[in-house]
Amino acid sequence: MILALLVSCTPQEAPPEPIKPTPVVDELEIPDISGIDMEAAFVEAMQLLLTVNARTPFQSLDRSFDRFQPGCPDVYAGIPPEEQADIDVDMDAGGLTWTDHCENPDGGYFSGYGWWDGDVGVTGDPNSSEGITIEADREMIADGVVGDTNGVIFEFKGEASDSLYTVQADGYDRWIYSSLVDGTSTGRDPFPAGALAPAGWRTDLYLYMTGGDEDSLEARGNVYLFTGRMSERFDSIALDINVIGQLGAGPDDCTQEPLGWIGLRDENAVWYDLIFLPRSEDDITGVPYPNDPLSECDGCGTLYIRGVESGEFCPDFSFLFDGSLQAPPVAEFVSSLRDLP
Amino acid sequence: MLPTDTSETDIPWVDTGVFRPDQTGSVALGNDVPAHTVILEQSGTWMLSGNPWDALVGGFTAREVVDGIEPMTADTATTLACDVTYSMQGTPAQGPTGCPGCGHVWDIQFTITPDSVTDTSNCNDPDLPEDGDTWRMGYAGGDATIYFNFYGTGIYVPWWGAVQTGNNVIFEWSRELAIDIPDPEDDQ
Repeated sequence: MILALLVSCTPQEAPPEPIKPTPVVDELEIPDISGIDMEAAFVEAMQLLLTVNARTPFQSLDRSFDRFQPGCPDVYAGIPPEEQADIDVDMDAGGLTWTDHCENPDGGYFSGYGWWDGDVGVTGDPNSSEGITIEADREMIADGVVGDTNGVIFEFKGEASDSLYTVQADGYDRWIYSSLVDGTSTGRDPFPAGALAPAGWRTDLYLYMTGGDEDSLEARGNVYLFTGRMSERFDSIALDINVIGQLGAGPDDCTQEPLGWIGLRDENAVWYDLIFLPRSEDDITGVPYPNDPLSECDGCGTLYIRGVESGEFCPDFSFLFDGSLQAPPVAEFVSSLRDLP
Repeated sequence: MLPTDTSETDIPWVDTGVFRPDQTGSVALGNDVPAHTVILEQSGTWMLSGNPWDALVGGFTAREVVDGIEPMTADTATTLACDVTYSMQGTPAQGPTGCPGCGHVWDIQFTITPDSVTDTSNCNDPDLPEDGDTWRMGYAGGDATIYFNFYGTGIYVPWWGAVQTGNNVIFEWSRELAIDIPDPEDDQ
């Protein structure tokens, strides 16, 4: 009897879980790149990303002033009421804001808002040994569309800022331009027919370039093209790269090859990452530094497709320092109420 | 036994997918009207002397009128938030200036006069001279404009509409802007 009770009180074992069949994982296919000039694709990407900077939305904003008419759009001193445009800047921020949802008799329309502010300062004397220094910066926060009966002229949503620093003295010239754009832009004004990004881009790209007595380019971030393909295949760029030119290079600097990496994405969302010299020890993952094959200053990077090493490629970025990097003219930073019609 | 509902559902199918607009350029238009406006008014006179002209003196006033309301100062002791009076003293700019079409170009020092109603701290125009600033400005009779060498950049910006009569150059400029005046109750 006791035995029977014990047996009846023994917890019943749960039925065993059915063994699930191990899923069959297809081996990731590595795209065939035999028909692609990968080096040309990376050069094209580098050319394109130089155009992805704050100058683009500011130039289009500037040209859109021609379409302003009294009351359409409304132009605020500083920032408008929050219900009109929720702009995340200090209440006492200066600058100007256009905001409205209006159409002018000529068919031009404005919808949304755009705030901008800037500053220019000049010190020194070009004839002195210290020379003349110009410092300029500007910022834009917008979520607005300017259009007409033919469609969108200029649309920008996000934030863009850039700054310019120049020093000029007798026998000395130095400039620094930096730009950060975190936003989306479209329209036929910033992206006319034949533009490298025909329908615009979405980006969070940071650029820092120097010229004069020292050539260098630093680029970090992402660029996505709405239409248009680099080498008819790639729609996005991701990179963290530092390129040093001959001018101003230190004895240990490699001017033949960038530091960092640049990746391209094809329309099937496959990334092709070209890894150059490490920018720092933080760049080294998996392979202890120094790694001689990767650390050679030979102008070549190692291509990884889906993480699989896929050969050496040597894009020629020397065009960067044959005049392609230019400081914007300070006139672009000159902005006042007088610009408005 | 639970009943089985065999009738057709009358609940419409709900799309829970992520909405992706396919035309980001479409806009809803109306016409927003700002609750408040401000008119920036600037006017003044240059008086030139010497033969050829070698000195400039003058006066310049910058006022900002909100919602068209001019306070009756004598009655209420209230004033505009921005009502600045300057005196100006100028000397001829030396060397080539680059001022487009300018007949004469000056380095002008602006001084806020002791009887100025306000300083510039509450003015909405970000480009008013501060007390003691020296600006290079030139008069171009051909387009009836005084140009400002924008903070020394070498870029001459049309600044004031102007007319010269004899030794006097009279100038003025105005601009209406919308302005946000926060409701004081919102801060409480």
